[in-house]
Parts: sequence; C-alpha cells; structure tokens
Amino acid sequence: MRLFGCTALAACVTGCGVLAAPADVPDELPDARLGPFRKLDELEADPAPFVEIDYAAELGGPAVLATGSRFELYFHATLDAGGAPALRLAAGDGATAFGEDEVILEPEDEIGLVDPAAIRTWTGDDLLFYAAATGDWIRLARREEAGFVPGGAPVLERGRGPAIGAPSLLELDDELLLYFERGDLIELAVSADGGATWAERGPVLFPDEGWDAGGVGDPSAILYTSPLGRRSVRLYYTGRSLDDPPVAGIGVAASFDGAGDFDRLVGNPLFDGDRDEQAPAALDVGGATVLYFSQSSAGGRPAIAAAVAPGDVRF
Amino acid sequence: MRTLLLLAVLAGPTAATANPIDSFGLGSRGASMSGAMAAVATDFAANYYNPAGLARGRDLTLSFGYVWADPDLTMNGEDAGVDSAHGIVFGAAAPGVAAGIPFAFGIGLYLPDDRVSRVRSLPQRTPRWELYDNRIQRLYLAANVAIEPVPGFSMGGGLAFMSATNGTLDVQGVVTYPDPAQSDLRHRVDADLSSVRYPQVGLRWAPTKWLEVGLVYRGEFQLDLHLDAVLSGDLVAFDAYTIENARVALESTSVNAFLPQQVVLGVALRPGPFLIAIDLTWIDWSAYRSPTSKVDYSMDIPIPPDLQGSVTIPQAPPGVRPLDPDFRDRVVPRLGAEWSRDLSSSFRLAARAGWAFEATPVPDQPGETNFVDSDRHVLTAGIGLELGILRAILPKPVRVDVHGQLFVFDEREIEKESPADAVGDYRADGTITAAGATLGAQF
Repeated sequence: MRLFGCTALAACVTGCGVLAAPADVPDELPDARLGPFRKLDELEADPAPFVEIDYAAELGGPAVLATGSRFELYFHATLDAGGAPALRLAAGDGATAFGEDEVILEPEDEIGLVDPAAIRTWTGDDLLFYAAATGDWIRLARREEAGFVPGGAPVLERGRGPAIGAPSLLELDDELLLYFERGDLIELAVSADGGATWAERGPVLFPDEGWDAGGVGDPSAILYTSPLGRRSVRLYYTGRSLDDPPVAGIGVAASFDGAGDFDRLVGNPLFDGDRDEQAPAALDVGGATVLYFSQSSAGGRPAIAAAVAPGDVRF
Repeated sequence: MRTLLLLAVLAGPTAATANPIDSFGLGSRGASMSGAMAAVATDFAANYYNPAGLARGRDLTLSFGYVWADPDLTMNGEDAGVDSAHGIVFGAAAPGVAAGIPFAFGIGLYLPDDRVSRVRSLPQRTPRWELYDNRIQRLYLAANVAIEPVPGFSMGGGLAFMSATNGTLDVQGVVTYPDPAQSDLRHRVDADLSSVRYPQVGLRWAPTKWLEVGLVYRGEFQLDLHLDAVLSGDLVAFDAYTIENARVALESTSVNAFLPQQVVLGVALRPGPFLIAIDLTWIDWSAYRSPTSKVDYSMDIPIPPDLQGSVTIPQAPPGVRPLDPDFRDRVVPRLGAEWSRDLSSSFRLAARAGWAFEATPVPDQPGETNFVDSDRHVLTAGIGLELGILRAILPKPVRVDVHGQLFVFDEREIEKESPADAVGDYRADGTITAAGATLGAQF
C-alpha cells in the first residue's frame, strides 16, 4: 500500500507522466505539428541542452536559420553578471547539433544586444534583426563577407510607448512581416521593399485569460502550408501569468493571413513550466516542427533546449 | 404453428446481424450483385438480405465460404491503419411444410478468423475512418424463420445479437501539479461486451414469374460500454507524510458498434435468362451516436490535520463530453444483374455484376471531431457454377460462387476552421478490395 501511495502521490501531486501511445493507432495520422512537443534528450541532441555556457550569466533569445544543410543558432549571452549581452552564433549541419559559438555583434555604446532574428530573403540576402536590451529600438544587420554589418537608423523605435524588442521575421508574398514585442502585446510591422522601410500594423496578439493573462511576448513566426495547400502563420510566444512573480510558459497561436485573428492552440501552454521555458524559436524541418527555447538547465543555469512535434519524430 | 415458430425464434438465444455484412454482403452471390438482393435472396443469404426469402426455398441447403476484405484507406497519402477483415461464412436454410403452409428456418454466420469482435474508443480528435474502424471487426450471427401463407407472398423475421469480447482500460496522458486543469488525459478502451439483440423482418411478394418485390426492416443496434476505474489507498510523501484513504475514480461511458435502423425496398425483374435487381436502402444515420467516451473524474484525498495548509490537493481534471457526430440519413441505391444458362445437363453457369453508390453520412469536420469518410462507388462481379457431377454422392447440384468487390472512395478534403487546430487540414481517400467464395450443397 505504501508503494502504491508513493506512486499515486508522485503522479497526482508532484509530477507529470507521459505514457506511451496506443500500439495499434498508426503514427502517420494527420497532425498539424502545433504540439504537443517532446523535448529532445541526450541521445538525440549532443550536447543537450544545446547551449549551456558554464560561465554565462544570461543566455537566451534563441533564433534559428536553416539554409540548405547548414543550421545556424543565434542567441544572446552575457558572460559577466551585470554586463551587456552580445549576439552569438553556433552553426552545425543538423537541427540538433551545433558547434562552438562565436560572437557576431558586440554591444553598441555599452547597450546590450538581445533577441536576434535571422532570415534569408528570396533575393539571397541574410538579414539579422536584433533589439536593444533597453527596449528602445530594433535594428537590422546584413551579412557580408566580413560578417554581419549593422545598418544605420533603427528599424523601429520605442518612442513614448512601452519597451519594444524580440523581433521575428517572416517573408510572405514579397513582403517582410516583422512581429515584435511591445510591452505586454505582440505587434506587427510590414515592409514591402526588402526591409528598407516599415509600416506598423498594430497589435496582433493580446493577453488572454488563464496562463498568459499577464502578457505575451517573444514572438517566433513560421509559415505553415497544410496538406491542402492552405497557408497560415504560426506564432510561438512567451506568455506570462498574473502571478507575482509571473510564471512564464510557451504557447502558440495561428492566423490564416498573419495580420490578425490569431487563434490559440487549445493545448497551450506547450510545456509544464518546471524549467521556466520561454523565448521560443520555431523551425519547420520537413515533416516536423523543432522548437528551440530558453530554459534553466539541470544545474539551474540558463540554457537553450529543443523539442519536436509530432512527438514521435526521432532524430 | 406459425405463431409458435415465430416466437421460438424471437425468444431464442440468438438471431443476428452485424456490420461487416452491411459492408461486404453475405454469400458470394449477393456480394457479386452489390447486395441488391432484398427481392431475390432465397438461400442462407436471405438471413441478412430478406428473411422472407427463406420460405421460397424448396431444398435443405448448407453453405460454406470465406470472405476477405483489404482496406487501403489513407489520410494525406499515408496508410490510416484500417485493419483487414476476413472470416468464414456459414449458413443453412431448412424449408418445410406445416399445416399445408410452407415455412423455413435459417441461420447465417460470419465468423472472423482474426478477432471475434473489437471495441476501440479513440479520443475525439483522433482521425479515424469511422465506418471501417471497428465496424467491420464483428462476428455476425442471424437466425430467422419465414412462412409463405399464400403462394407468392412470404414473410419472415428474426433477431441479431452481438458477441462478447475481452477488455482492458488504458489511460494515458499528463497530470500536472499545481494546476491540474492543464492535465491532458487520453484513454483507450477494450472491454467485455454483453449480448445485444435487435430485430429484422421482411416481406416478399412475387406476383408474376418475372417480377419480385421485397421489403425489409433492420432494427437499430448499439453497445453501451460503461467502465469504472477506481484508484484508492494511502498516499505517502517522502516517507514522512501519509494521506490515508485517498480515492481517485474515473467513469467512462461510450457507445460502440452502432448500427442504425434500415429499411430496404427491392424490386427484381427476370427478362429471359437475365435477372435485374434494384434495392434502395434508407439508413437512419442521423441517429448515430459518437463512439467517443464520456468521461468523469473524481478525487477524494482527505488531508490529515497535521498537513492542513502545507499540502494542496489538485482538482480533478475536467471531464470529456463527446460532441454530436451529426451524421445525415442516406438512401443507398444498389443495382445487380445476373445472367444464367444451362450449358449442359450437369453444368449451369451464372455471371453477375453490380454497382452501388453510398453517399457518406459524415458531414464536414471543421472542428474538434475527425470522423473520416467519403462517398464511395462499389463495383462488384462474380460467377456461379451449378455442378451435377457429384450426383453419385449428392442428388442435387453443388453450387460454387465466387465474387470480387472494389470500393472506390472519392477523395475528400477536410478543412479546419481554426488555423490553430492540432490536427489541421487533411485529405482522405482510398479503396477496399474484397473477394470471397461460397460452396453450397442442396439436399
């Protein structure tokens, strides 16, 4: 009886358990790959979590760019407590294995750089958007032979409103869609000239009731095409509760036109929150969606981990 | 006497019908004529097509056969995992005369050689070919009696019943703390079933030698599956705290193997060596009930006084309520033709073909449910031989019938209203091929 009690208590009170799928239900049933996600383990990702810098005081804001067989994982990190974060890049030849990271953009005038977002446009240009740690602006850098070169004026500025940051880029019908965080909302700006000028379209995702009632941010947009050819924009995001301190989680919402009417997935949040998962970056890899995100590692230090949907996909 | 015979069947332990026969027919002759048999079935197959036809037989017949059906049903081009169905067919028709009135008793059996029956209750969101998932995995047993009170007019009836099967309950999912409302529980059910009976009756009228009319009613059938799972005992935390007499209960109610009531009107014409039969079957699909389980959870975990305030017991996760499948009634046309000719004094050949169109009763699935089905054309063909070469052993001809069937499912596209639907858009199509043979002997 005591053994039973321990087991029951573990399941009901302290933990979570996922049991295997029924054996005779085929794995190939339709699945929109929105979730649930299964975190990759050490057997699939080396190292796992992917990035865990022992001496990093802050690590987060992952973004991923896949160009052919090359995968690039961008993130920001602070090596010294209280220091200004820089943008870093680790590259690899697979979605689950990245090599040594390197700094690609240092802080500007002691202003830290955070939340990188990379995109390769249809013209072949690699654009890197990033935000000021102060929340004052979002800027753009272009990849050249010598590396990423920042542009001139900011793409977007804070103005008198709440802080802005966490850009995410999507190319749709010859337009660049820039989703970003402003205060507790996610907003959209659009460029029809390859990123030279931007028109703000306003909020597209608001706090909801429940787990993300306190605010939404850290958008990561990907384009999904259904087996019937219908396109939709999927927005993975960080939600924060109204608790004090807020509890963060990762959710996903989707819209057919990307400009509004985002529906949330019924199964949000995607993780149980025991590792403080947030700041998602989504990547469509063939028949699966890989989600990179910040979480605390087993030792409590910041790290970047990954998960996959559908959960039965193995790497 | 007539009343006694009828009561004997209705009150008896068995009589039957079931779903694989709805899909693939009973006996090779009927299957090769797309099941357009309400007006013309007279052998053991009349146990399904029209019990009244039993009274038209004049010889004791025993039939034995085998049928095999292989679904190739897909979703997004991937195999949907619909199991094949195959089994033994057996039947008998025993005519007689009582008080000058012809009567007959018959039984028909389809015995799967893989599984006798299967019950599977999938989560509401899981896509499944609803009409071919559990439906064709069934034992079928029917017993009927028929009389012909006036020449050319007969009536018959009987019962159908369902078999029992072993069962298990698997619960899978995630239980979260401290917010159990976020729990995600899914369950899969295999369970013992008790027998359920439902009626079928038929009328048959043959005003001339070249015209026959049949009318059949088959009753509604369903299995209510009720499962309770209770977890009780003491809860011990870290060998330091004990909560005694805790109880966690799950109550699941579902409907499996639902067979809607049907009315069949059949007409057959016999111009020369030909037989042309047309059946129209009304199927009450709108009464269809969701096979998804209705689930309620409850927890009773008493906190000891010394743990009050230090231990929080989560609420029971929300229950599951199946949505109305909202199927639509359908009328299924079936057309069958047969040409037969004596090629010698001991050899008679029959060639048969048929066509049916079954419009799907399943509506679009833009929301949470994923019942998959599509319109289908059924093409059938077969041949039959009556052989007198065994007259040294059997005084009457031996009949051998073979058939093949091809079900062609139109491609169906399922578009979801919400772009955040976890299943998303998909397309479904496929085929089912079936074949079989029946050997019949008359005495």
